[in-house]
Amino acid sequence: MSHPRYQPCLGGNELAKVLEMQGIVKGFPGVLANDHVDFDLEEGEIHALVGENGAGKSTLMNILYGLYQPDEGRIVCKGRQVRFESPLDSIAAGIGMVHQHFMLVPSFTVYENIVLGAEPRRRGSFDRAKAISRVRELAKRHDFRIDPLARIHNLPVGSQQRVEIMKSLYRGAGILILDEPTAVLTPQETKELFVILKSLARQGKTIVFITHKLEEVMEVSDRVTVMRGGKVTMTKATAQTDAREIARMMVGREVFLQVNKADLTPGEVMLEVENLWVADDRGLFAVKGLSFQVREGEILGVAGVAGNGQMELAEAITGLRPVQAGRIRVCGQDITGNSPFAIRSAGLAHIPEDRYKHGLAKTGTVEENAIMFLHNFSPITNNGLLNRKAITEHADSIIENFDVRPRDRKALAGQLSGGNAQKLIVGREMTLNDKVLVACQPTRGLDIGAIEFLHNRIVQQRDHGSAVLLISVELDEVMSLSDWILVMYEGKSMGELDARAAAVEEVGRLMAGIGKRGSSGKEASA
Amino acid sequence: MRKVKSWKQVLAVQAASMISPVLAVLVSLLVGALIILAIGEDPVNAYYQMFRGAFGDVETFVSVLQRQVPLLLTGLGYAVAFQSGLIQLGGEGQLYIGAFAAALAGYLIPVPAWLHIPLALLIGALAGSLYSGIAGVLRTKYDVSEFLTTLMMTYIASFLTSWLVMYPFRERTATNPGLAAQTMRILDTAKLPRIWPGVDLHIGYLIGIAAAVLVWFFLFRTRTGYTFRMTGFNPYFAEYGGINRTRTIMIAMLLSGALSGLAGSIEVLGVHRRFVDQFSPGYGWDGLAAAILGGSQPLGTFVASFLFSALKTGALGMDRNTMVPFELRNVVQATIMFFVAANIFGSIGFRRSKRSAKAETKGVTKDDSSAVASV
Ligand SMILES: Nc1ncnc2c1ncn2[C@@H]1O[C@H](COP(=O)(O)OP(=O)(O)OP(=O)(O)O)[C@@H](O)[C@H]1O
Ligand SMILES: [Mg+2]
Repeated sequence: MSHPRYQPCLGGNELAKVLEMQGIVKGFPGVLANDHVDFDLEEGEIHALVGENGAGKSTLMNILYGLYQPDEGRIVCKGRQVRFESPLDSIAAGIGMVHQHFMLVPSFTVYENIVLGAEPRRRGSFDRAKAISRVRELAKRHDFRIDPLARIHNLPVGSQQRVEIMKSLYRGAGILILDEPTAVLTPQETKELFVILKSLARQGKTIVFITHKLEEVMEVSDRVTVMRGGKVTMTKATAQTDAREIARMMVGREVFLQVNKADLTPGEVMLEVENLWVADDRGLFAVKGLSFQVREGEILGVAGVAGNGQMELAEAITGLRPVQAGRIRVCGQDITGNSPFAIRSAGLAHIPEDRYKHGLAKTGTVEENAIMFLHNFSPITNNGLLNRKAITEHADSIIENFDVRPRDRKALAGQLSGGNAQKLIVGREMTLNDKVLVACQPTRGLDIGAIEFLHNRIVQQRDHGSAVLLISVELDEVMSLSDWILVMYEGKSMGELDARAAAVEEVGRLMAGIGKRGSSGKEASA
Repeated sequence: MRKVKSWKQVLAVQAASMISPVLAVLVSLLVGALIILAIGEDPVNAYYQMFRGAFGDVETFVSVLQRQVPLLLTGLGYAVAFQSGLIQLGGEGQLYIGAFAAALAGYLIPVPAWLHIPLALLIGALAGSLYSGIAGVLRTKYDVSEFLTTLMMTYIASFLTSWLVMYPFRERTATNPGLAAQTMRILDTAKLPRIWPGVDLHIGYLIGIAAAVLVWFFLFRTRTGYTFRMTGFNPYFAEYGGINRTRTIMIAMLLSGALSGLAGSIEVLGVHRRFVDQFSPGYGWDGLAAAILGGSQPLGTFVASFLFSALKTGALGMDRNTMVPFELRNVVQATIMFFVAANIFGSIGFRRSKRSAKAETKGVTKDDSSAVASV
């Protein structure tokens, strides 16, 4: 077994290495998540960590952060071998981690979250004034624009992430681990994050950053490590490689992120939204009088900067959020205000935006998660009894067709890697083969191979006569998959564009709220 | 490439999930031993007497089994609620209501035995069920936490039945001219028969075992059980998947209360033969302990209810034969609960299981299935 190891360009300057992980092995029952992994970090670098879903990236970083103990191998920090029994040890060693799912207290303020657990004290009690001024100072030093007194639940995702980063910096982190930080960000927020990361690196902080987007790797990283099947397949200076090579090392073949889509004549209207008004959690209108139609054999992409009412729109259509005014029809049936059960029964499948909130039960097995909603029908249940054989077959077919790894229907959903959990949800909803598919950020967290596969599946479903509502903050995805593009801005439609004719610049302008309002094109011609 | 798990793997995982409760019990017994030492007694002898008090002869063993029934049934009631994500803590109150209703049915309805026993049990279960149903309605209609309502309704049930048995339903006969606060004796047709002639164990024990099997079957093999568990795992996911929350909460509450009501009915029909004021020495609370130690699983609850019953019965023997008071059992049980609730040994069990997992992964290919069982 040979493991290609990165050789420092400047003749092995060991001093520059702030941290080394050597021969790390980590197994879970039946899975070798890390198989003799060597990984090192140089001071002040931005190190991208990429690889297929389930390659072992999160596991490796969780080991570095002290959440998991390696079975074999050692961690050398500044020349000394260390053992991280828990995150307390790694934090003490100057390592900070921002998980994909933030661990903030939503009802607390920014500064309270940042100092939580390490509060400045004065005569035994919490010194708020000092905490606020320290957080202000920290924000100023790193050029973070953030109000220490704002409450977390009022902040957009990008700012919440900044709070997480500040939390690590406040504890003196010199090494910052970010697990898929850009998956939940808008392109604008991503840009801002990169500015921050670059400036942190300039100040000598070391950053590890996991992503599935290769253009991000090329844009910000100094070095890149590629993992596959638990092993490192490549570590190189980013300047000496390119996105194609990285993709090949990741997947083991060439990947073409290109969808082949035949022109179709759309059929009947399957999903119709008419003058829809929906409120957000705070009671303010998030969707304001939106109308559109999606026909059989058609993909309507909803483009827009996150937070412009897309989430509320999807939740209203799927029955998870009350409708204030307007009508929604699925397959000709008025389902406004109906229960999720009634709406699903009318022929609607839903890939939810938040995979761990709505998408699955982490403590349930893969097969229990695979039969949700189908549990109401034969052959999954007969006369109120679960049919074990049918469940097994159904779960196995999803695992097989959507490449959920490990191939184990008894594994707990929470033990799947992020991307594999997503594949399970997508597989469940697409196997329903419903007339209407509402797909929210369907490729979030998927590796490029899986994205390629899923894009083709979505088009295939359209070709079989489904109406697809695709809601995504990935503009590329919307542009390449959709037949029509609806741009949402502040809860309203900025117009529908024919995807074949639409230019990225135009969509981008509409997303920023510049340009004409009201419907055009499609409705006029319909 | 699916592979049948070897029984060894399955066993290893099952064993790992049992490490934490077993450790909790062992360490708590150790804590108990220290206390016995502190009061200047011999822990070895005390525990020996405790063991003898529970398993010394057929008679004590039978009373262990007898006492296990109400713990098991109320424990199963909690298990159903916990699995559905409900914090239902009112088993003791539902037990009283069920017991009272069964007692009335036991002496007021003159029907033959083959009908009387099931009828009285059913009425008792129904009463417990309706009582917990009130908390269900408050939760689903007005979003009042079932945690608070069930807890408070426990006291209401205990005082209400006390009043009922002291005034309107007090027995006033020649042999008991109103001296004891108890109802009339149930008719002979309502008495639970013994399983084995000569052994003082009524068929309530078989009912308890049957209930455990049925609850397991219900939770893990039926559609409704699936919806309960998914709601318990993640209510948002359940809602998204079209599971009716109101229906789930209501049925789970009713079922939970029915099991506790049944526990009370069996105590009346099988042991006391009438409703006696404040007859329960906290069966509903010991049942709660059993459900928690048993991880809200039917089998776990069965084992834990046996353990707590043995502990209690044994402690009586220890109390009789040594200077160590019965209350030691309360300390041990409370310590067990403390360790389980704080999940102090959970992390140890986790680490251990990870270590054994490491040994297993060696030489195992990557497509091999993970051995993590759901149950
Ligand atoms: N706690 C766990 N228990 C069992 N198996 C686990 C656990 N955590 C991870 N695994 C398994 O280890 C492997 C690697 O998972 P990991 O989360 O590190 O992947 P990843 O590279 O981060 O993938 P993704 O891009 O999908 O997030 C997967 O097969 C996963 O199922
Ligand atoms: Mg991951």
